[in-house]
Amino acid sequence: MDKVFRYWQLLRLTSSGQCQPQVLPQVRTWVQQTLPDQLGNPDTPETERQKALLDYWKAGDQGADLAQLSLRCFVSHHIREACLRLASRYGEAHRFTAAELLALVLDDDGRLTPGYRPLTLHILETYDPDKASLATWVSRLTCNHPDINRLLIQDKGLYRASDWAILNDTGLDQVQRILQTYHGCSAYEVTLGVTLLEQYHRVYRRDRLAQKQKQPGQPSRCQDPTPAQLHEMNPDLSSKEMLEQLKWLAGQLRQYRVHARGGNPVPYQPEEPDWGKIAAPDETPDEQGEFLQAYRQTVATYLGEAIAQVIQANIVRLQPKQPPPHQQRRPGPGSKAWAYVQGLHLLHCQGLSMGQLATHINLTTQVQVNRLLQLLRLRAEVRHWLIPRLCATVRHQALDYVSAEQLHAMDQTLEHILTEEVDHILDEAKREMQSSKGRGTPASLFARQLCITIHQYMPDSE
Amino acid sequence: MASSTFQSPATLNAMSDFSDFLDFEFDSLGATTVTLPASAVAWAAQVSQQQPDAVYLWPTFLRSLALQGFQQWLTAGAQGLDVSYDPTRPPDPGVNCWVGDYRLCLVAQGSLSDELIAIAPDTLEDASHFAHLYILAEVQEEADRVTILSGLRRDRLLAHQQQTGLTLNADGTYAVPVHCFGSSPEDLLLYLSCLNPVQLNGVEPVSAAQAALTPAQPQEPRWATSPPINAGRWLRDQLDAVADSLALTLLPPLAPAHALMSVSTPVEQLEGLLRDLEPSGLTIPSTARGIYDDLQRLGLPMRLYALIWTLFESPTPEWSLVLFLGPAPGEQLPLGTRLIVRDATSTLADQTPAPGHEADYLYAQAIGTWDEQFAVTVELPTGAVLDWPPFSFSPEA
Repeated sequence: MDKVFRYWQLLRLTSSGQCQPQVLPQVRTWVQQTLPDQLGNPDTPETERQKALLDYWKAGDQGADLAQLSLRCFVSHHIREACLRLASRYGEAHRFTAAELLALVLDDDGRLTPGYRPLTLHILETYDPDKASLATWVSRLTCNHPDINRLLIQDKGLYRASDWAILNDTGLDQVQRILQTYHGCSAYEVTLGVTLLEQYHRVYRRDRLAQKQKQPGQPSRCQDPTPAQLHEMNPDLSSKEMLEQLKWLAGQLRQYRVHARGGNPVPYQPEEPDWGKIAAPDETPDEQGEFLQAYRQTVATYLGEAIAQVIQANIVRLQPKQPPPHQQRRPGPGSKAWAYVQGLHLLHCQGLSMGQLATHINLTTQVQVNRLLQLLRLRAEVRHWLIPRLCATVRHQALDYVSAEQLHAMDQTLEHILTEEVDHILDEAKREMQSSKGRGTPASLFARQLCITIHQYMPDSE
Repeated sequence: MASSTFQSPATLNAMSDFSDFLDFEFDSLGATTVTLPASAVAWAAQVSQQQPDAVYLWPTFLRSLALQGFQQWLTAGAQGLDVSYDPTRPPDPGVNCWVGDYRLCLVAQGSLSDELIAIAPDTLEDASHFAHLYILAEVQEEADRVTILSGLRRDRLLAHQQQTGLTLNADGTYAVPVHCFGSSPEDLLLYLSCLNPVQLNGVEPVSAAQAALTPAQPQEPRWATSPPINAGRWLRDQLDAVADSLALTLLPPLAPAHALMSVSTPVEQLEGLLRDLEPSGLTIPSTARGIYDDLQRLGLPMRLYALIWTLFESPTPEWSLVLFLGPAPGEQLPLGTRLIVRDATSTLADQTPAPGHEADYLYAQAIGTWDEQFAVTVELPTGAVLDWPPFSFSPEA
């Protein structure tokens, strides 16, 4: 479907904060009359439509303001799209909605000559068609919007590095290599870039560190360099020029950064495993009955103790440093340790999802629950506790002489045993669990044992 | 100068895919992300001021933040892991912290996310102070956050160096591609909790430092020159001709659960050692058989025990050789005594008594397939070296 209406339909906020489309009849009439070829034909590429409108606007002749408003309409749709994507990618985990973001950035009231500079206009004025498509530019500036960044970082825990942080953290050797090999800049351009960064570092890093020393523990985004700082960096350039050049350089580094993180899945992609459920085990290809049986035996013997040890250690860690004198191992309601035990119980034994159980333990977001429960680490630590026992009972080998590869193999076998569905090992425990009120019966050996073990840490009322 | 001076062809493509852009632009709070408390940031800001060279001040600051973050991440678990470092000095780019016996090189990555990681050459080349593990931590200085990204094992780095070579940066550091950092944070926890760092030493050329320890030693273990001792025979209650010629003594089957301890006979002494060792996880199956070699015949107050058994749990059958070097009754192992076990390519174990534990024994274990042999060497504080023919395993022969 041709979305040509986006050139005369503005998305704006109602007084109640809702995002609402508003058709601007004078814009529609003007574009349909003035650009019938570009806008009447559904096959015309967007870039061509935009170019025609940009040309009208830049020419400054009659109709320039209408061309600009038409582009602002188009931009408003892409602002919405950027917010929707942000929300769909991160909103659930970090508990924000597209509407919250839109409230910060949809500020165009649709007047031909607005008395302020709406984001749509800022985007258009900074847009260079030679560098990127308009849609991409809108996305980038929307994500870069100071209010959105503030909301995401301060309130929602989602971080996006500022230009200044990137410049701070880039070494001269790095900028040289990136400009040269990634961007293909000439030797002259590379030298300019390196000099620019050096000038910046000398002043901005120094001031930033001084600020950190004065106020540690107040995380703050780097602000644009002040005119005084810019002047100190390079007295021969106007502040405006210097600022532009630095922003340009940061943009180059940011592009490289996106590339580096995109092409290097191991370290840079956030590992967000599916916390809600424990993965179905892979078939072990070289399953050796006897060997696995010996492992299972050891696991059956020690798993309860292992889980108890790890949970107990976490409770101690989460409890205040100086517990009340008659502190029991069952943590008091409302405490962090209490939330930890409750969270594990609700998740593993009651079958609630992270998002669902958050409010039960006085948290708001799935991310917070993740961070409190650290499920992957919990299971890893249980495995690590079991490994020396396995070495001793099955391999008759001192841990000191186990190679890294043997260790990984053991760890994987353990993970397989812990996460495979059980029906035979804990028959008794199973009956016990099914008679309890939980609706999601835990399926893995690990979850079942956890549900049995955790009761000793639950309040008696449970 | 206008900013368009730097117009570059990469601009158009790099941002074309918005969803990729989103994924790699924003940093969500991952499972390995920690937020630093004010005290940690204050320490980092303070201690990095000791860096005399202004150019290195900021990288030192980031590294100090990374160290605080790493510590917080480690201690946020139930395993009781903790990191040690000198709190009075800023961490340097080399080996800059320790976890147990692990020498670690923590590398701080700022908000740039480079594809190449610079590592100090000493961390790789210094024979006695190399890093067992490199740990890559991303520092978000603006948010006072640190994320533990991944790790690189020394053995993997050496293998990479041998296969593809390492590029030298202008400042003399090595440039290691970030994709080499293939160990996940979970792997790091596994290693730090369960793996002996010696296992990550990798195969390295004999260095000058090691050579200096054994002056004038033609390091020619009897690989080529002597026929091996067939330890497989022990399982049949026999010694082969080589063992016979060395006057090794076959031990009776062990009874490790022996109730009362006396140290009069060699087997009782060994059983005592085994009881002491149980907490370390070394248990000896009842099928194990062994020998001892009384070195008092050479005027040395010590005894070497060797125990072997078979392992059938992996697709290829293996055998395990455990060696104990203990003092003769009433004696102590001299400080500086070393027990060394090698296979055909590398040193598997190199044990020496810890100061203050002179009375203790040394032990080492090697596991290999049935066609693998192990060479055992005892080095005395005087520099003299005793070695045995290699131990081999052919139970049928």
